[in-house]
Amino acid sequence: MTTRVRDHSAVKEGSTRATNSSKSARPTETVKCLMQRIDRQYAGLLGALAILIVVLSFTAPHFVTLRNATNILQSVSFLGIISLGMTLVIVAAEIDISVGSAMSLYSALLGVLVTHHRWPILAAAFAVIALGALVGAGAGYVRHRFNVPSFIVTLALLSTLAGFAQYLTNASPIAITSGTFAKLGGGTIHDVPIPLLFFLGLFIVFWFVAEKTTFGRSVYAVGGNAEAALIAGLSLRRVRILVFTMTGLLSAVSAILLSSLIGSGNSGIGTGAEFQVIAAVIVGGTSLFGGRGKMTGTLLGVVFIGVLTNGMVLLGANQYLQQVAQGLIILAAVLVSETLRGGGRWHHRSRHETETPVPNVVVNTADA
Amino acid sequence: MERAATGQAVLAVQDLAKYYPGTTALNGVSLMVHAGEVRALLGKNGAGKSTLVKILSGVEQPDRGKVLVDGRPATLSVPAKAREEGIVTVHQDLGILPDLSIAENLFLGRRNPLGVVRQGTRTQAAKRLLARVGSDLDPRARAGELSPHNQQLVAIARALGDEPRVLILDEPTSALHSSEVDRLLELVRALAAEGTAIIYISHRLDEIPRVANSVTVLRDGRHIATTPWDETDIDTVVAQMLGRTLERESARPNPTDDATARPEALTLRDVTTTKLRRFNLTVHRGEIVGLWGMPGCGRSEVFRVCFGLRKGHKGVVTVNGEPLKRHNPAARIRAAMGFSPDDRKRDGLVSGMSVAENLVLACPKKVSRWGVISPRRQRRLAQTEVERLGIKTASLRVSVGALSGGNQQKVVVGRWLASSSRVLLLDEPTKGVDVGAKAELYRVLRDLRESGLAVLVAPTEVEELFTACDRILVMRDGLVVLETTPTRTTPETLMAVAMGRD
Repeated sequence: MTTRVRDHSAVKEGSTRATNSSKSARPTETVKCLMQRIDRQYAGLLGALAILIVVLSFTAPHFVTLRNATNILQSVSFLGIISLGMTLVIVAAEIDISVGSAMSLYSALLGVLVTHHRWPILAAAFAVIALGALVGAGAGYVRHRFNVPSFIVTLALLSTLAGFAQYLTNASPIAITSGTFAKLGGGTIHDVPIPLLFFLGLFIVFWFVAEKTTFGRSVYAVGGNAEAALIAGLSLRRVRILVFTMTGLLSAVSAILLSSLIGSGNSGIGTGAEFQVIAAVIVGGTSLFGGRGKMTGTLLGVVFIGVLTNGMVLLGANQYLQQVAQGLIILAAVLVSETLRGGGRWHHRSRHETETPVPNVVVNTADA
Repeated sequence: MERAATGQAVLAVQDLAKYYPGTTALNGVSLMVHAGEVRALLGKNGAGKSTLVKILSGVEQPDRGKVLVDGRPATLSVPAKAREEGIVTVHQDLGILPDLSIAENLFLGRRNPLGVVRQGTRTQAAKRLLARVGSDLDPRARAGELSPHNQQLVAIARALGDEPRVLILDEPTSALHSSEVDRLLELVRALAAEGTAIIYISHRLDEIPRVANSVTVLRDGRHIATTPWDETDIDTVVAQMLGRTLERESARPNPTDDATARPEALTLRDVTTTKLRRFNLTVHRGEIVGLWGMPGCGRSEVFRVCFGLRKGHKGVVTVNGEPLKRHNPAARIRAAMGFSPDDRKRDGLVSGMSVAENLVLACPKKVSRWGVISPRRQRRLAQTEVERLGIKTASLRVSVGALSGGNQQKVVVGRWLASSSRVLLLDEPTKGVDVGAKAELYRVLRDLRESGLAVLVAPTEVEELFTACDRILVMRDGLVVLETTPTRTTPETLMAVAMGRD
């Protein structure tokens, strides 16, 4: 770090620092250096988050309280957990829009197993997680084997899983009565909500996988350039199956935590979750075209959406208008971070989108 | 044909120039084509043919010079404008939309006052156009189901619908069988007889005398010669295309040691696909074999078969004495093969990743333990290759997309050296690579030859075969038609053989 700082001051010497004494300059250089390490791409998001927090702290009652902060962090944890897996899915140039339905099904199934069939909670939870992983792996397999766009595969899954959830429960919640189980989603350890601990723990795991392992790298390579990854001997099948396995598995984990919080197996628990999860990942700077994105970005994106939702609730906004505002603000956040990053990405990277053929659209550009 | 040299030129190109960053694609080219004339346009890769065609068809704008049609200056700002001016191009990829009917393809993009299409009228109009190319295809048939020959006819018919004064045909026969070629050449002559000026581009030299009245040769963006076909011949034209051959490099391949006596590293036995016919090839350890041929000869297919990217071929691929059963790149890499594809941007590099990450991409096991990457090992391995190949990069962490073409190519080659490949397949490794980097790349290959590395390389320029290769194979129509060594042949011979001389 020290050498880095020295390098920097050497470069800047004579211009900005000419009038400063070296003592006062050193901390600012360190800050600059830190800022660069944070990566320019998060500047927009961090800025937007800061503005949002400042605005809310002046306008929303009780926004700046420890209790509310804890509240926000607890409530984002459920979808935050899934967005970690979703980041890998999107980096691999895939998409999974079935996570909301998956949550609903696994919550419903947990209720049915525990309450109707008297399964021990631990056994039921493991069964549900295993099923989640299996369904995800299946989706990844179908996507790869039959070269179906993952949007289509998970669209089909979205309907199937949601329907199955409703069928299992007749669309009514099944109470899960267990004191210990309730603590999982609603309890705290040293005032830290347990779901947040799950989220942070999984964040570290996924950050490690994405940044430090050969598997993580192969996800980036396959998403960045599938043909090149294939020629380099990487297994597209392995990457595709595993990333969907992760969203499936994390959907189940999230569903279990959320069921615990509300004390029931509920087939409506995941409604709209896919929107929030994908939005958090995209706001966090991950490219929908694949190959780019970071777990830290997703973490910031999750917090951003959590703060936004919380602020609007505190402001007492009409809940339908909340949805409108959420959509628009997410669009704005993405546009701002794109502009700061130099833009153009959506155009020049579109070639690498997927190798699945895009339906022919009859547009004669020549006549334009 | 008599009209060819008389009267005003239909197309006059005057002093056309086009510069791209770092290269001059066209450097003051002038030429004239008359009504009823079929003009062959020849030149090796990078001679400026495609730039000229792009300018004439309105895809690119020239930096200097102008184009006259029937003596009037033509504005060629966009392709539609070029067509209005009477210059119509049938590109090599034809631009046929497979899911539309023939009739829809024929009238694609045509302005229609009401936006309403009358099926009956359109079918009739389509029939008339198809009749002009001597075809009685049903206009309602799906274009995607047509044979390459019929697709070519549809593309030409569509061009005729624009009433061209100048018709440019870019490699119209590259996808056709020989009997179809005859019919197409006949059609081209007939169209010329109706008074259209035709520019005909082909790599098959044997076709040229059968269809063209005259030939224009470009080289390095310059106009070299325009000659009536009666006054020239294939050897002269090839010599014009190549120019004064570079002084032969001093680095003669392994003169003392016969590599063919060593063990075989890579063999293909009777490999047959849609593009290859019982293809045989052997590369020995410590040998560099050059594969030469015109685009479409099946050269890229050989590489795809070798590297397991071409499913469903017949025949046997053997590496270091072991016949390979599984055909996928991962299995080939396990057999110590490496492949640098001809389009390295599209198929070779992951542009969002760093130089180091790209270098170690094919050998994750070497830089990791239990699946966890060791930054130290990665750096060391990447650094070795950066030094060995002389890759010029600010650091190992720079995004690979920021490097120059030559250095990007070195990264692709370095990746295979990093993963200890014993057989290297290089498809046009010097495409878009500057002279210095090119020489360096071949120097490294020659050095590695001493350690037993086997290389199969398909160069972009015929001269490259003489700087590095021990043996040269010339391909045509999916077959090896000539096997020779650099000492026994000349670039002119290789060019002529590849283009169809026996």
